[in-house]
Amino acid sequence: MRIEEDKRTPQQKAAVAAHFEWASPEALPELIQVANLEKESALLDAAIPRVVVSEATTPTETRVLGRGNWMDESGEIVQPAVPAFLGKLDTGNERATRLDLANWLISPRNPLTARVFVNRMWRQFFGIGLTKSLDDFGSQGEWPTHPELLDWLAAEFMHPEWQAQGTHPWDVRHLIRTIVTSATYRQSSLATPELEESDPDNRLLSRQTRFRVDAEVVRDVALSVSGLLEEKFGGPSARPYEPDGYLAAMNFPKREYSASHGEDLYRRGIYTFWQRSFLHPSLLTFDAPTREECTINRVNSNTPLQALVLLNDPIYVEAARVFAQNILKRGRSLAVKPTLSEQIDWAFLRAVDRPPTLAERRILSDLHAKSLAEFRQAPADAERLIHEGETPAPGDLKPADLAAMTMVARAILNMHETITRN
Amino acid sequence: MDQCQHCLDINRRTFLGRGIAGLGLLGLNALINPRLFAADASHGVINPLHHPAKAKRIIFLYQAGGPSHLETFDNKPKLREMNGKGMPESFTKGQQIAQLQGKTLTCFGPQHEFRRFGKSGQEMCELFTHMGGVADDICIVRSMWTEQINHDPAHTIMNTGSIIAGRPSMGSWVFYGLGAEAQDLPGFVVLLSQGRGGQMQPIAARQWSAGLLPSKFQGVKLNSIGDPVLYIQNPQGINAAIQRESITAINALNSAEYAAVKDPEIQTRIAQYEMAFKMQTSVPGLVDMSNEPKQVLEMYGAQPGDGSFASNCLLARRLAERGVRFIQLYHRDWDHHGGVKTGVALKAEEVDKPTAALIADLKQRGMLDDTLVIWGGEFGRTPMSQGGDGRDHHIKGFSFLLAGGGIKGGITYGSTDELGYAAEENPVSVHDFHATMLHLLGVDHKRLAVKFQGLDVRLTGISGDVVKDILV
Repeated sequence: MRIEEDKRTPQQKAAVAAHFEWASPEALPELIQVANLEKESALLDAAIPRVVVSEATTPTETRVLGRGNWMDESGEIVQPAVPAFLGKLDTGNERATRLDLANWLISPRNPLTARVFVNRMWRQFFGIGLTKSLDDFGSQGEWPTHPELLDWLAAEFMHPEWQAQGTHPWDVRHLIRTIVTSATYRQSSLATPELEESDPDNRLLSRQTRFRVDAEVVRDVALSVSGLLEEKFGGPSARPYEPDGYLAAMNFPKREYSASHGEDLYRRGIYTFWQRSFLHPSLLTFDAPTREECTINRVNSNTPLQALVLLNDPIYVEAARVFAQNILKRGRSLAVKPTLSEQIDWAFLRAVDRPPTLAERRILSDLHAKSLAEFRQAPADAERLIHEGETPAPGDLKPADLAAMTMVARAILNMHETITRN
Repeated sequence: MDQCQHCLDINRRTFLGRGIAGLGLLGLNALINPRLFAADASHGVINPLHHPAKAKRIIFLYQAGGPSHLETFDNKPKLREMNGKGMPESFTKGQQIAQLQGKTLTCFGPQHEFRRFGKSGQEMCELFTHMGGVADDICIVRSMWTEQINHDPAHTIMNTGSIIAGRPSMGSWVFYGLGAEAQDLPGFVVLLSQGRGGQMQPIAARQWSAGLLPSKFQGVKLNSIGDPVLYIQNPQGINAAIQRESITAINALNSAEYAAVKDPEIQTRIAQYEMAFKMQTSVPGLVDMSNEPKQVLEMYGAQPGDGSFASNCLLARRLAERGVRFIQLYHRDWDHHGGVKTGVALKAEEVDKPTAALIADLKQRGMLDDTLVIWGGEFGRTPMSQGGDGRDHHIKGFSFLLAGGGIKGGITYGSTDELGYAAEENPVSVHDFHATMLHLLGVDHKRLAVKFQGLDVRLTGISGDVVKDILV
């Protein structure tokens, strides 16, 4: 013990530990716990894949390839650099490395990275960037509508000063918080006819922009409103229902698609398995890119195929049915049971965050009445409808009632407003 | 920049004006743009047309896998003569070669006989007797060449003019440029069939992708087996009456929202739900060939619902009749690395009769004059043998057939050298082919462009000349 701790040999350390164990029996449970944790930690450590980084001792010679001909070795030898119009890497006279590039990208003297990034973020929240040309800040790009704002946001992103407590440079969360708590973001998207006339694309931001949500979110909205959404975080990709034979044109190897089961069927759209060149058809229909080329700005189309997906893709039918179950079961135990109107009001509110107008309620109750009459006449159809999808149909609801309410839920899930960010 | 905004923005006015035009609600569109009734007008961004069109629509019978030109439309007696001898190095030195790399290169003569067909005396392989019967309507181009020696990039350049994935396919360009005439069908339709020989090279959906154009211009693949269009069937348990009631209700709800917020995108949504309902009726009717007369089915050799190339050819005619702008059939199974003799004979059985029937059928209906029919694949095959009885991929020379839509029939254009190796007289590049196709549609290929990442992207890139000699 007279030897200082950091100078003891392993044997001496072991002797001290053994004595401590003998002298302090009350510490035994903790010691066992520590030993177990160390064992687990070692197992975990062994399970972590290692990345092997090798560094070339002599850099590879890189030549300009005339017309892309990789067999032509007569082109000029070039050194790592950034395009000349973007300035120079500050490396003294040394050959530039990736670290130099990284430092250059985030240098306080280089505002471009932050400007481009905040502009893309702005596009996420307003449907259009402060400059439309998300991928071109050069002379062919569009001049920003609000250059001072773009600059201020870029500066704030690089080095937070406004409500900066708890933030750090390049803090994406701080940037998002700054945008979504702004008065501009929180505006209504309602426009007056004068505004529609003078600023049809809302470039001056006197209102919020209205746009159809992205492909993955279209799915998430239906699942979330219906109560089907599985919010599990991370993990392997999920495989939603997909039409048979969709991958038939592929080969080497032939692809057999089988949908997931259980909770994986109802996970968020971003977890959908991405079969390159044969993206899930529902996502593709709502403009998810095939990822064969870097896509900065998704187009936002509006096609009949989208209607077919929302009306007929089994996942949307199942979502409507489960939504209907929740509508019908809500308030069932109350002394005064909810009326059809109250049920419709609740469903509508749940989907679009506002109660229906009188006319809207009437449209849905008419649809309910007609559907109920049809399904009472064709009970087999009602049975088939409510058994779409893997979620078991409840035994305590009449099939015709559930089927009719499913039609109401389906209409609500198909509304333009339901898939629109207002 | 303006051209760019046409296609890449989410400008709502654009959608109202064009989104519907994209799928051909002529009535509504004409209301917005009365010019559509003018003779030289199209329903797309090229309006008016750059010059009067000869062809209004295209049917591309794409023979995927790389058909051997030497057993189809390019007879090479000299190669037959040199069968088994070494391939002269003067032909092959420094040339790109696929699987024959590092192998001894041996001449491999045509495996089938050729003969002359029609009044024009076009020389074609004798396996293609039916197509020989319409030889006087066909222009054989024997001097095609391409840049890509593997299937996928070769398909990509043939379809998009670029080997970079993500460019629009030619069908999407045509649909974008000219819009659709169909009232209730997409403007660009793709049909796939498989051969019986088992040479099933994959086809990626990228081949009919709209790439950087809005996705509504992408090709819609009609499945020949199962549901013709994905999600076209009502869900189980929902009959047509309830579907109609539902769509009526959805559109009434959307109309109510439109009244409140006046967003034109909602009007487009309403129109698209109506269109979807129409498609639910029209598409099954389209693929239901039970009302075709027996002699027509026999003429094509089609059995309804069998998913064959023959059925797809008949379907192509029905699509053309209904105003679909670009119809592309893929027949897979032409990748004859081995057994080219039996392989091509099997393909001839599958494609000869239906191809000829399609041309004859279009002609008897008066539609061949304004329908351009194209027959060809992504590349040809080597004059050298592979493994004794096959041929490798080959890019320096191969054959294409063109018919109708402003093409001179009964002529042969261009030629390969005496061994069928490289296009020699009047070589036709993929861009030349695209330029010619667009020309026939009334479009100047240099003026059909969109701005993308600082470039004017075109189907023909920065090259391409119209092949004037084959035009009427």
